[in-house]
Amino acid sequence: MGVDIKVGKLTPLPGDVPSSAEALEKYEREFHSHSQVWGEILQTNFERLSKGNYSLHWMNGDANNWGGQKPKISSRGLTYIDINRVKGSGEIGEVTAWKSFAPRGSIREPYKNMMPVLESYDVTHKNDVWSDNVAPLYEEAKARQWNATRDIPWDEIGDLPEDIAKASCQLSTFLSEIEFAAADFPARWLYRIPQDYLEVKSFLATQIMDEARHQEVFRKRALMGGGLLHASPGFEWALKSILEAPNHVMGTFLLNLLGEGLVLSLFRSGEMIAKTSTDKEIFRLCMQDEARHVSYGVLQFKYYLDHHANRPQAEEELHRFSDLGEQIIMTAFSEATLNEPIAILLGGGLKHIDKGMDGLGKLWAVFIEEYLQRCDRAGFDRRARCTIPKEFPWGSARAA
Amino acid sequence: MGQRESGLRESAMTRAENDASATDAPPARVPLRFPSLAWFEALVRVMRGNAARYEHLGYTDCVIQFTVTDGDEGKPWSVRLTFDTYDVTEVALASPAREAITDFAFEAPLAVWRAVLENIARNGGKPDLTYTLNYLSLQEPLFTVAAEDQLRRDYFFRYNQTMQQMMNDSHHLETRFS
Repeated sequence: MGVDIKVGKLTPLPGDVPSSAEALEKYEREFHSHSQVWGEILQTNFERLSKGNYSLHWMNGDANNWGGQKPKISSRGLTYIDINRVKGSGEIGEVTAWKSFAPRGSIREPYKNMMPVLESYDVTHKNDVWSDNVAPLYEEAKARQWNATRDIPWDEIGDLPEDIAKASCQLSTFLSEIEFAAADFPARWLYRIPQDYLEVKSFLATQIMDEARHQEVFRKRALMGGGLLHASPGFEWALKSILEAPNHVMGTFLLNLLGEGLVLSLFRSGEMIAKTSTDKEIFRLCMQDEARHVSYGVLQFKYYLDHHANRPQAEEELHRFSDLGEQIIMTAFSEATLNEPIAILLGGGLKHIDKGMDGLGKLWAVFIEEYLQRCDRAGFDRRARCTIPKEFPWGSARAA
Repeated sequence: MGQRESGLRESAMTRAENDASATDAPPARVPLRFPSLAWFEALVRVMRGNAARYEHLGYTDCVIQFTVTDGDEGKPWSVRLTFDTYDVTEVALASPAREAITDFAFEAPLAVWRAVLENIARNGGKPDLTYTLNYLSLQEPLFTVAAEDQLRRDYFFRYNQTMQQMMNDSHHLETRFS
């Protein structure tokens, strides 16, 4: 009997992403590998239900002093800070062994052996994620949300000269390009932070929402002004480097403290570069959000250093990372797709781009000094080792 | 670490009880001298009358200081405002040497403050681009946002819209400068 080989009958080689059938098969295997515990839970519950019995074990709150202490409502309502004054549930360990969804402060110990272990929850040390301002920042983030659909005077853009219009659209394209990376980074780590650090997870969720809104508002701005313009390879590499940072502390330093610090400065200078009330409002609102992210980054970095068992070693590693991080950000900010539209907007048109570049140079010095001051505040003396030039390199070769 | 960074404070509520009636009162049109404690107290009353706007902008938790570097017969003059949630709970004279409790201070000579307030008044509460706090903060040393460290200075950026709204609300006041 001959072998009937036809190309159409060959099984395709597996790709990087498993097919839905393969993924389902893996899921089924995983499910069946835990069939004993599934079975025990189901059987116990079914027996009780079929006999018409109740368990009511959950009404025993002795183990965590249920009803012993109620949180006090403060002037602004009931915040995480208010509820964290309750003993037990409000205590946040320096390390957590809980890799499940069981809420901090719940009676969970008796069920430990019956619960799954989420291996993805591998950031188990508080100093890798915590900052002393994270709970107030979460409250602030909720209170200071805004809506890119409703809160921006979209009808006030008007007709702009082509050079100004294109510069505004290019800047908006660039900002639209970077904002979702600033959401992807916390999202990537949110998944790895155990539930016991719920305040951090909550704040990171607001950061993701903020960045989604920023991406939205700059995309809308570009399209309202004529359309999206050019993507930026330098920023693509920088954003990839942020996402792939070796750990949460380093990535947060690179994104929140350094990267968003510079973007905050950029939003702040929006008062000078924006030519319409629409743009000014966008920059002002984004600035407030960005400042929260920067504040988390500064105090997270500080908490990490202050609580590290070997601070000199931690600082040296972070200096090594910063040497790279600063070059990553410097490469990104050297892109023409960023600094040229800013210069056109600052100068007041393409004819005055040189004047705008001079203005950008002055802003640059402010940006870098603010970055170094944030490092100072975190207790990380970066001044002697900073690899970013304090003066913007515009025209330096020409001057020489 | 600032008090707000270690936890949201209980409302200080140092607002005098007898201010409660003034909260709902229409803004005073009696000319008030700038700078003076009375002027800032009147500004806070205007802000309370515009409470919905401040609630829309969101929480503000910081202590700020206004310094007129030549506001007291050529010498520096300062006032401190304590923001708590949506309210200003304290208005008090302060030492022009920035106080430890202060998160950040706006510092500028009277001529700059006058130009800012007159521009806001002329535009009915919507200042021209070159008279916003954020724009002015990029004009050091003419106008300075001073703070002990960058984290506390960043409060200015976090609460920028509230700060600007407060300045914009000054157009409801009748201001004299001598």
